[in-house]
Formats: sequence, structure tokens, C-alpha cells
Amino acid sequence: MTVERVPSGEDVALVDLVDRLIGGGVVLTGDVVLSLAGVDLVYLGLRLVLAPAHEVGVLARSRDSG
Amino acid sequence: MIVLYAVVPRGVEVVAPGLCGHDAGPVTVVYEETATPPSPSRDAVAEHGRRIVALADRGPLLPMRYGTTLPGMAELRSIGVDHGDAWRRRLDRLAGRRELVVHVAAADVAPPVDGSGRAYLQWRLRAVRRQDHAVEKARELVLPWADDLRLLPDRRRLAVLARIGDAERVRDAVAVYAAAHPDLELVVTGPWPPFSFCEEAEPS
Repeated sequence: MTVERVPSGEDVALVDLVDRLIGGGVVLTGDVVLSLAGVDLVYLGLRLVLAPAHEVGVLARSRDSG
Repeated sequence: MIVLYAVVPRGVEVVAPGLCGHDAGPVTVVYEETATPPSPSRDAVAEHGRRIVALADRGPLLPMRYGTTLPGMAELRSIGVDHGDAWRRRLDRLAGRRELVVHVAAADVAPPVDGSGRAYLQWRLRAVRRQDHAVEKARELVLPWADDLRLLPDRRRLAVLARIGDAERVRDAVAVYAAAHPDLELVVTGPWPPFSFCEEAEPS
């Protein structure tokens, strides 16, 4: 499994933008809101990018064995 | 279907290709009508985000979480009635402010050569304490400019709500601190729309 580490500058900014759009913002719940499949996978990918190296190792092993 | 982008104060003109504004009491909800749901890809989220950032350059804004989608205009009218007043209160409290994200990482220390479980757990405990200490120091550092401050779920980033005019001061303070502490990795991104400060505001 390939895991990116946070480099610097614009790449970090892009990760923050995507992460905050998925993990932050106004949350609407209820029957009128349609769910969107697949965004959780984008979020998991970002978590891997942002995680420290030893946690990435644990996550990667966990996913490989799951 | 209706893809929601943001909430802005009523009266703010929404001038962006493909985006429309629906007036809902004291706010305008910015949306796009599409035939297909938003793509769950990083590129699509980033492009959506760039449009919100461009909108935020025009004035206060509450960004919607990516993927918030409604079946049609009837539902949009309904949520406007239900949430308009609370969104306006939150917008008023966020006016003139943006979010900065401060990444804080204490330098990794090599794991113990002794491969025992006890040695590993002690090493992990020290690493967690180093990280928590670094985050606490960063929190103290930016506190003078923070109207609000949140530790993000990964516990390695602080979301800082600061006045737009203070953004550079925060960056400078972090840069000076980072230069004096080579054992820490500190990166500031933003200013962003207030992604981490969007909960609805109760009447004061």
C-alpha cells in the first residue's frame, strides 16, 4: 500500500481544504438530505496522509488484514 | 438535484458560473442544480472547495459540508425556513473572521531496539506526551489572536478562528516559534472559510 506523507506548502493546503470540506462545514441531517456514497473513502485517504508514520503503519496493516 | 455550497447573508450577490442563490429569510443559500450527484473523488472535492474559497473572498460565508444534496427546490425552501435564522446568527458572529489550520508535529524518535512490548508501549507513551505538549504550546502561541480554537480529530492540527487582519500575525508568530524549535514541525494553512466553526448559533 502506498502512503503519502504530508510534504509542505500547497500540498498541505490542498489536503486541509479537502479534509475540512468533508469533516467540517454546515451539517444538515434529516430525510430531505440525500446521502453521498464514497466520501468516507476520500476521508480515510486523507486520514492516512495526515497520520504520523507509526500510526500509518498500524492503519495500513489493519486495512490489509481486513 | 440540488447541491448546496454555502450560506451567505441575504443581499450578497452570487456571481459564479453555474451557482444560484435562494433567499431564505435573512440568508441566501448558494446552490447548483445538477443531474448527477457530486463525485466522491479528491479532485472533485478540491474543485468544490476552490469555488467556496472564491465565494468567501466576497464576504462572510458558512460553507456546507461536501456532498450535502437535496432532491429539489421544495426541500431547499423547507431547510431555509428551518435554519435561516440560526445560520444568520452564526454568520454575524463569524463576520470578518477566517480559519487558519496549524499543523503541529513533534519530531519522531526512533523506536526502541529492545523489541519488548513494554519498551514499545513506553516509547509510544512518550511520543504521545511529546505531541500533546507540542500542541499545547502551539495553542498558547496562537491564543492572543484566536476568537475560537478547536483541536481537530487527528489531534495534530488546531483550527484557529481569527480576524482576517490577524492572519499574517499568526503566521509570523508560528514561523518565529518554529525557527526556535527545530524539534517541531509547524505549518500554517489558510486563511480558509470557517469550516470548523459552522455549528448553528443559539439566540443570545
